[in-house]
Amino acid sequence: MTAREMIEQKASDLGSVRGSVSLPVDFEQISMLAGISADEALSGVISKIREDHRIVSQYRSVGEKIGGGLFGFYINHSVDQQNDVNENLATVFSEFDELSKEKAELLGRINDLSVRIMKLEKERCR
Amino acid sequence: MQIIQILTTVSFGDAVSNDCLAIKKLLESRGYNTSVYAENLDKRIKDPDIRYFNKLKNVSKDDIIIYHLSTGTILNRKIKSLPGRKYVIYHNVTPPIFFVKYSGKLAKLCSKGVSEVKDLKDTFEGGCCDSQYNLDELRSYGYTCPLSVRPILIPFEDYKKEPDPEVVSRMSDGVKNILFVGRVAPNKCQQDLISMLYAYKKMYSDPVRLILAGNGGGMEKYVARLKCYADNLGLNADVVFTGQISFPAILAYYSTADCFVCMSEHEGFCVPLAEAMCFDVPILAYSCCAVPGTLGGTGILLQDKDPSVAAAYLHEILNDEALRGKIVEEQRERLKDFSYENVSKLFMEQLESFIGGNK
Repeated sequence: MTAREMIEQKASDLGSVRGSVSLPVDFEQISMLAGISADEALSGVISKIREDHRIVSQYRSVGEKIGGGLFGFYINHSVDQQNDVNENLATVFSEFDELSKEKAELLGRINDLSVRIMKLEKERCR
Repeated sequence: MQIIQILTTVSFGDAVSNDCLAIKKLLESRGYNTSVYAENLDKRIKDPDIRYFNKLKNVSKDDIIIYHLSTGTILNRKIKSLPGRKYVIYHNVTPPIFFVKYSGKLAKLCSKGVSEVKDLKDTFEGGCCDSQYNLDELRSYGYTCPLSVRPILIPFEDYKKEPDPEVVSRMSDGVKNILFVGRVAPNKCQQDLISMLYAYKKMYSDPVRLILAGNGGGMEKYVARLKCYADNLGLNADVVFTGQISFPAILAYYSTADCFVCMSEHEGFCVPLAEAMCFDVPILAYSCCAVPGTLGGTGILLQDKDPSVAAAYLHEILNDEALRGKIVEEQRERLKDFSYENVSKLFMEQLESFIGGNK
């Protein structure tokens, strides 16, 4: 008898527990903002900005080296580096933008809930 | 004739690099003239036959180009224009949908990768895939060249090294260790493992902890969300996020694990399953993508992700000695299919049939 057949014999018992434990929190409902409070997301983005640029030494033929020297290899290199920095910044800004939208949405929800609580309290007073 | 392997990155520890380096060693031992070219190289690599892609020249039409296809990269465009007979090794590209919420950059890269894989459908004369799942995917993209299945070459010799004694001692405190090894990423669904742990704690009294061994770099939002989830479920002390760890530490987690649980929803092969087999750790896995194929009838499969059912299966595996023994026995048999000897023999047969006997 294989292990799967062994467990298959108990399958009805094991399957009977289906849904017996309900999770108090839904993973999908955990806000990205709540996640940030765990101090990970932002530090990740920041560390990305601060990361030293890994310069990959590129192969260039003699002709290319001479041409690079004459026509501004170092300028090209600086431009490449600037492009990398820009790309990182763009990522940060887009993440910031996304988080701002989420923050606004959550603040809206908090407001709605506050209004509902006030209404409920009023009804209770009556 | 020379055999040239081309891939995005050669580093130490990732499955694609390991596969490439093992193939290089194998081809050299068979007397082939072979070299490796990559877009990015780990600085520790000193082998003169492993070079940057832009140093590649003098490729003739008789040369064989083995291309490891696993992500979106500029090489996917450059490979088309190279002369030589092209052979693809497909390791799969993670669908971008998993990353959309967490990293626009990664989602874009994967999306690019998927479309580039599709664009390359008429580029190769033959190839192999890590799993039947990967092969079916290439066929669905319109690949018509001869393709075969060949598992990843895994350097099991490395797993005989000494595990980190500090981790071994820390994990041997009588609490049962539920392990998952893999990048912390949404396609790996680590949240389902946390849900299962919560259900287990509610249903049973024996002490267990969940170890999520893997790097979360680039997935900080997802990691933060997972931590928040564990926190909300009151499992802070029971879930261990190892972050990036040393190889001896990985060995230590495997050697002290009581069960390996995988809830991943996208795997092209899933090397950690073979690693768990190597350490005689019984496997419980969600039946999805390449996972059933890699398990090959061994381990225990979950047909859905209900946390209570998963916890009940886990409890059986942890506490039924006869069942554990049987799972491990079957896994040992399955592991033989992934042995270096078997996989290298299979690879050489496939490649030599492609080459046609020339050296």
